[in-house]
Amino acid sequence: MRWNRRIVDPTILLVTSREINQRLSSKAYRVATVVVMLIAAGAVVVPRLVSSGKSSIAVGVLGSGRIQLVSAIPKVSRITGVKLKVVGEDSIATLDQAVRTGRIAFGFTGSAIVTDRPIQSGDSSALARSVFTLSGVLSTERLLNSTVVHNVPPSVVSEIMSPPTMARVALNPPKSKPKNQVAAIVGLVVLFTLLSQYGAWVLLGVIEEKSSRIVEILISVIRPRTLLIGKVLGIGLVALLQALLILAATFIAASATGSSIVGGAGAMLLLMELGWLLLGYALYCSLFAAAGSLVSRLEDAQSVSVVVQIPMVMGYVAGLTAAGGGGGSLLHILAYVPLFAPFLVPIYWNAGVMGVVGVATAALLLAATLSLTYRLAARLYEGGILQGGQKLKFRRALALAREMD
Amino acid sequence: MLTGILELGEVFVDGTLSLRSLERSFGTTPVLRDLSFDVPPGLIFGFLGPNGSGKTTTMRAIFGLTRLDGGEVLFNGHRVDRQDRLSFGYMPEERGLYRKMTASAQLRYLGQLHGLTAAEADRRASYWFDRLGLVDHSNKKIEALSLGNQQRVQLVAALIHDPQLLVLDEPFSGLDPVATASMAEVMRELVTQGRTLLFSSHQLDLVESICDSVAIINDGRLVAQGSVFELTVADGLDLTITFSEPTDDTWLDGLAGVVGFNRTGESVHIRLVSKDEANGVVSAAMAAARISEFRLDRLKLSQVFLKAVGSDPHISGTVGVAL
Repeated sequence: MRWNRRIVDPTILLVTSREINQRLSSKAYRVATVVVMLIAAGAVVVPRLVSSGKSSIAVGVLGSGRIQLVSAIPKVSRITGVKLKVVGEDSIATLDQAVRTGRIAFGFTGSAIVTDRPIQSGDSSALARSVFTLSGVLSTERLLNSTVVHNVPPSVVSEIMSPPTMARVALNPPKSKPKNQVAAIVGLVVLFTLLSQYGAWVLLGVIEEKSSRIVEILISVIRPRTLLIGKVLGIGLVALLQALLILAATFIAASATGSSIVGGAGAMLLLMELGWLLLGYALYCSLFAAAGSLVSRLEDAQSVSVVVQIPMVMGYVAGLTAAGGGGGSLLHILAYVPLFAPFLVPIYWNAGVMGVVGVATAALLLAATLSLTYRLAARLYEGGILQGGQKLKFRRALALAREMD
Repeated sequence: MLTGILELGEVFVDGTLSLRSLERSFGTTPVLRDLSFDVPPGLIFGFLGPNGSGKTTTMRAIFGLTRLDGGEVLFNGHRVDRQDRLSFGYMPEERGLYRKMTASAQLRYLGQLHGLTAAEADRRASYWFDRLGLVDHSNKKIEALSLGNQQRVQLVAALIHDPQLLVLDEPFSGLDPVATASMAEVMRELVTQGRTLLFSSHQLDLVESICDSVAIINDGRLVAQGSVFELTVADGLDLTITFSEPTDDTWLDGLAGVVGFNRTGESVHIRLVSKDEANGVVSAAMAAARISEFRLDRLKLSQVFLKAVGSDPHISGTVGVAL
């Protein structure tokens, strides 16, 4: 039986299938997947545990408010699991000062709760839960007092139907810290780790085929380009499966702990990370394959892969810098450079620095670059894949590729 | 069945591999120089030459694994293309298998690459595993197999798609005598079925015992080609006569057809131009003294080889008298 020309070369699927089977049957792959899933889930669960594990926070109170707090605080502690320690303050000024300096977590004036920054809905910290719960308890008690003590006139009934809420006063504007900052940074670390791992698979896979000489058998029946595409595609699909498993672990952990990451912007961030992982893989793994075709021994792998690893590390560091709020306009520009975009775009999108148009532009630029890098990688691969012995120079590999035409 | 195909004024036999004026240089070093010979089907064809003579480059050229500076490789009378190569089997000198894959998975993959279905590849692999004593190893990873068994799997990899042309680079390297005999048997069976088989080896005694024809190259040039019989009689025969009583060598003086001789005790080893001179020489010996034994031997292939590549120790070093 001979293959007919079809839209997709069946031999690509064979190579892809072999790569998938080899990776999935690898114990290293399974262990690495479980470990990264645990890390991702841990990144969601641990902050929740840490924030909920705070046993005691200090609440400042002015004289008139202390009475109201006496009955409210045990209820708040029972509901939130957070122990509130009441600290008496002499005046509004000292209470504000104590909140600003962090000596107390928040203050209660008798008519308002004072915090350093506005507390956003969805914030699950001990402080936020305590403030929200205290606010509710105080409002309810005030309402109950007014209905029990008096004979519930119509005006009070009206008050019952729309109970007064406790005023909350923020002393400072909200910090510009992005909402899912931790998730974005963890996503960056995972993206860099996975890209490095998948790149190593491609690199070592190519070198293994060269060093074992099986490539001579393969290339005698299939084109080098077919082998390259099948390999990158196969490892890419395994990578996608691993990424989806990690994503699933993150979502499950987030759902179980009630993290805000499961909905809205958090979910979008995770999907954004996944998309850029795939784009980054498509870009970097073709380059790793080309690098691998230049050497014949595993010992030489490092010497050729470093050329590809340098921009990866630079992108990673740039991403961390951007996540910390540094870098300025230079990093904003680098976010559109395809080699760095996978590391910077999700961070800037999460921080609100890049919008949909910016993200789409960066993705299109990377996609356009892919056709160029794939042509270059395929030429290097064609030139280098059958050459044994010493490391091939870049130009020599291109010259050999021309000779093979 | 052999069929003739007329092309460009030459008659090609169906299944014949033809190398035509192959030229290849690495840098300024020529590796193949106007190399031409035919490998007909139905014969075990040995490809011999010293290290670095261009054997592996020639084999790689058949599979398009190295560029040719000149010449062409033909099969069935036409230039070999990618489709042809799907029906070729290749066993490279440096063995090529995925070390982490099981033997059966590997053979299925290679069979599929040659156009077989997975089921058909499994069926054929099973046949060869059984045939070569690999049944117990089929689900082991290649790295877990002994060198000899890896070699067997490598052979099956070349055979899995039932190739028309089989090219084996040093197939006996590293094999024990049992495995060698087994591989030789398989090779004989394949050519009996009409396949074309080319293999290289440095084990010249083995080549002599299993080959029908050989081509010998040196420095990229063809220096000898023909059937093993033709080559081993072309440069004469060795006649050994053992006397049962002492005699000198004067009886050899003036005998026609004697290239040279040397003596070991009462035995005289005589190189003859051809077997036609044997009767006259034996008669002369019997007239000179009583003989207890005589034996007529072809040259060994190793002697032919050494002479062809320019280092024949028998002729150049040990012959006592050249007439």
